[in-house]
Amino acid sequence: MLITHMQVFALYAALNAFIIFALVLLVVRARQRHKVLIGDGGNAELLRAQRAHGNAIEYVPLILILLLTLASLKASLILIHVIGGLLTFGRILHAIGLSRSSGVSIGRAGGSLLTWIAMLIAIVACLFYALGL
Amino acid sequence: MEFLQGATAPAFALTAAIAGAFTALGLARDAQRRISAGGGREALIAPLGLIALALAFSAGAGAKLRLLAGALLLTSLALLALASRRDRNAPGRRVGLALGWAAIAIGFAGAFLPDEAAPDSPV
Repeated sequence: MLITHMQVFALYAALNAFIIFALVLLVVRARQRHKVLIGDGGNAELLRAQRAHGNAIEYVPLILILLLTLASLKASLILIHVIGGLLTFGRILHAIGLSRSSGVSIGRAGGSLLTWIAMLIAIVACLFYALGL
Repeated sequence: MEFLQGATAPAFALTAAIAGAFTALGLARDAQRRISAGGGREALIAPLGLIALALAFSAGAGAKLRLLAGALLLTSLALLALASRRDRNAPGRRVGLALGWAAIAIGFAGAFLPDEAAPDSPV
């Protein structure tokens, strides 16, 4: 079975879209449970759900665009898997960590770290392929 | 229309890498000051701007238009990344946002404008 660059990109795009969808559902569930239609109503659980979703929205689109750029440049499949895997695992960790506690947790810190590493690798790789190094 | 094929792909990759670096800087400054929800708006401008630019590149927009959109986007993200985090109405943030939206509009417009070098161009 021949796996193309775009197929690998599609895999990570779909996984991360699913994570964001799950985070949206958590926000909706918290809204219904606490009957808060707008804002967070001072509710800690709703605030955590909102921030878990907001944080994913801040990082995932840009990293996916960088990943798409690398896929179009036919970058190494291993590199695309590494960036996509780090991003996906990082977002799952961050979502679990922030959903359970608003303080510093292993999940939140680890998730942020993995997301940052994925972003930095993607930026450096784009530079590498753009400049033909 | 193929997505980022041929000679324009490295140029887009370079723009995306620099845009990513500026955005990372802005988000890091937000995180340092514990500002939530994309305080500098880089998280909104960068992906939209890059998608608009990618569309312009893929549709074969003219080189000047692509250069303008790319330059506006990078200037916007640089201003947003360096803008004050304390003042939500800081000049750098306001000008950066305006330039960012201009880059997005020009990029999307570029996707529908004919290539200036195309032999069948009506212009």
